[in-house]
Amino acid sequence: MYNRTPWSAFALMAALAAVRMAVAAPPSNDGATIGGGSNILPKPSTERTLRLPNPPFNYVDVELPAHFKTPAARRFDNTPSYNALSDNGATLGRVLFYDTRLSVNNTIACGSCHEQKRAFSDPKRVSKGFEGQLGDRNAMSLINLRYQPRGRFFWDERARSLEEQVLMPIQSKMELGQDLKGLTEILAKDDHYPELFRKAFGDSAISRERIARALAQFLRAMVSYQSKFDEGLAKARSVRSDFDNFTAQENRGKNLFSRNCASCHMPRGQTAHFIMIRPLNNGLDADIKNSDGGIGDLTLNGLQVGLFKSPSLRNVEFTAPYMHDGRFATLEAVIDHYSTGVKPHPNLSGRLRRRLNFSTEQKAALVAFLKTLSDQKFIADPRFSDPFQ
Amino acid sequence: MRSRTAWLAFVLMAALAAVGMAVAASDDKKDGDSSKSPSGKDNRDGARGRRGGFQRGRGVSADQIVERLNSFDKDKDGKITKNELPERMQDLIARGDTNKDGTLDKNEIKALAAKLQREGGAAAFAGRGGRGGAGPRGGGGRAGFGPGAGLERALDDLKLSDKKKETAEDALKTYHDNVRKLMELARADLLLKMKNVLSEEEFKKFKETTDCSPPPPAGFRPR
Repeated sequence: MYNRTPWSAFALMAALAAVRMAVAAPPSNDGATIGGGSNILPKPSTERTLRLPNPPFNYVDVELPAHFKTPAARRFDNTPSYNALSDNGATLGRVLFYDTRLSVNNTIACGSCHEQKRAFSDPKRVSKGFEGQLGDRNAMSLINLRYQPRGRFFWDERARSLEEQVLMPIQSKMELGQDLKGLTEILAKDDHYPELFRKAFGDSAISRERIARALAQFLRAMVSYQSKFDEGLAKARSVRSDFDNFTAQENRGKNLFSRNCASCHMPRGQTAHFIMIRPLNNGLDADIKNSDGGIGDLTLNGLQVGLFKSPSLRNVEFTAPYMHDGRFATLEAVIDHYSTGVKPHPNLSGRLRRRLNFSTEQKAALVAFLKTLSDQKFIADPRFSDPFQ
Repeated sequence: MRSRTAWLAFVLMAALAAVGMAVAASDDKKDGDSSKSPSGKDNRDGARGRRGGFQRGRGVSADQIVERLNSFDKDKDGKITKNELPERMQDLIARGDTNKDGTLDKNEIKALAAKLQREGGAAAFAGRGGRGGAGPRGGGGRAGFGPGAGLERALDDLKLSDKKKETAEDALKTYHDNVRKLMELARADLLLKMKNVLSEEEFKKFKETTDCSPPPPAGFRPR
């Protein structure tokens, strides 16, 4: 019986595999830490009132622009079949994302370090934990996480799926410090959560798996697609054409980006996702001994030392400071780095071994183009806002 | 002919994956880094080339990795303890502490680095559980830098035409999908058997453990 089951099931699965899953929702991102940019923490969620719309916000039926629907762009989607997006699932994820009870002392939530107005990043160079302890990395922005085809998260890609990633900051002693078993008990006693879990998953059982799935759904729902770039591309013949809604400087910056940056930041023949397919070393440090080793610090693989994941460039205007340690305060500083500041490293990406030597005008044009990726609607979208008021 | 080619391509990809390619080290063929030994003593550290750029590097050597880890040795006793490492790296102690003294010394670091490289780097992510992890789990060779990622990269390396590559990637996506579904099936089968073996309370605890076991291999996912 046991032997037969897998094969018949495999046949079924093979048939299922032929069926293209039509998922239609947004994106999101990484780790959590503490403290908003204003250094003023909101009251704990337990001292505020949870306000949710009825019926729930629409997270599923989002009309994405055409460049998100091409085969090449759709291939970036990392939504697993076991966790398809639902309006109720993302709603639950939203509540969890902003609930300070996810930290052991009820002081901070995921949203404390991933501020919506900052495109879900932390304006601090490094984030603070539940007791104010400082981490050593900048909180990554949570933008279009759904469209990261490797499906790995954190600067060092140590999480192998979004479902895995979302539980890690909660349990981290440096970040939220919470115990998942204790958390499920807290949520089970709450007035709202059993019903939210029932709506999301069919019954009111609360488990770490369901917490992970709901948070991941909310993060995948966060898709930014309404920037000036998106509007321009929709009306242009191709991404190479000048965009009518761009200034001359922005179009010049777009051309510069296309020639010098797009091979890494807009890969695989698509124009929707400004992400890197693979982690790389971008020449931030030549000192191997005393610099964060990124992936190599976990694998001890000499070829992976100094490699880091890169977040999406969408909304990059809002996500300062930049790089894994938040060393660059401005986009101009980032461009300066790639222009003339790249340092030697044994694992330096081949594409960065040539000095780009941008002129002042070119740097300004690149920054102007990067700012066309800003999506004001995204950072003000009530579907992604704090539901505790 | 077509199926033969596909089969040969699969064999090639599987062989490449088995070698435990250091995927992340090379973001593309231009980098060329990953084909070099990380232990070369003549490491040029990306020395400046003739055109004002940097020459191709050869990876970080084993000695440099030891030196890197020793930089965490705050009390300078020659051994690294769990508390001296950042949280994300603390699993290294359990993985490399062969004499069970709760620390890593120089030889243990070298041995661990060699072991992890044999396992293609994926092992660093395996068995990560409890705090800072997503729960106890085994395996881990699938994603990260394991065979799944190797197949993806091998496909990239073939430098196929866009149309051909798209078709090949679809096939690879289906493969990943099938592997993931098989894993889900295996989990369901495991739970079914355990239900007959364990008490209700034991089963509940066991199931919770498997709830956050690693999901499907990364790479190409369902659309």
